[in-house]
Amino acid sequence: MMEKRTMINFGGRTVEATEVGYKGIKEEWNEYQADDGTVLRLKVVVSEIYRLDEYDQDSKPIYVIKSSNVLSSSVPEHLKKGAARVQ
Amino acid sequence: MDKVQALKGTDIEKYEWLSPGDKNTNELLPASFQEIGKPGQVEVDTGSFVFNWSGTKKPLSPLIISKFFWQSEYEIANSADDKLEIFVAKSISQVPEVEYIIFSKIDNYYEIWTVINKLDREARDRIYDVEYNILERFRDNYFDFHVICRNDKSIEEICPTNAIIFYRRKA
Repeated sequence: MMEKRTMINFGGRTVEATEVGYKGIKEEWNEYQADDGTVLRLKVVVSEIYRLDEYDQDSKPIYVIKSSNVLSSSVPEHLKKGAARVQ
Repeated sequence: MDKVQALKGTDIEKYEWLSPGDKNTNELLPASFQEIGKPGQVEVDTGSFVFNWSGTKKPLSPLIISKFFWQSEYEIANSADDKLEIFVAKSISQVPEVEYIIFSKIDNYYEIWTVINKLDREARDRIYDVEYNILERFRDNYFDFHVICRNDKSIEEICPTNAIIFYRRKA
């Protein structure tokens, strides 16, 4: 992908940035078991990466990532709506 | 085989907002960052005073410091709005020619029909690109994608049985 110059909103300011292409190296699900027995799986899916014309305290350019969360759940039958509740 | 999971009919209305240009803006960060102070220069009252010869007290010039007061909020995800189906619908609906997205789901097997009106090979290619991206990213799910042309028929005529209209582009 060709690098593309753009302006983005960063911390309330409009700053110059470069949209950079990328390829996924590793993109896995994070898995959590809730105490109620439900297994929750969360994945962050990156859609766009920007490099700002600004630098952090380590002199590295600041990157901004646009992403979505994808969350799936495996819920025990007894927690589903309409299931018989065991006291 | 398990029964096809029925998604609620109300989902159709619920996700109409996914139409590009509605809530899909290019704004970055403001939604996930909370401004707790005005960025830039912030006046700080030093509380210090000096007294002149007449005995009246005069405040020192307030100390001016530059500091950004930005604090990241927690990212909040929920299993109703951030489910895979919605991610898929959001992704595919970015192609402006897409009018409807129809889903059926059995466990982690998804069958997805993307509906455009007329045959448009360029639009189809863009839809295929999105589908390929989804396949790459969610390898542990099974997807069966279809792109169909409505050819001015009503959506009800072409909607498969056991599937629901998950996305409808706003007129």
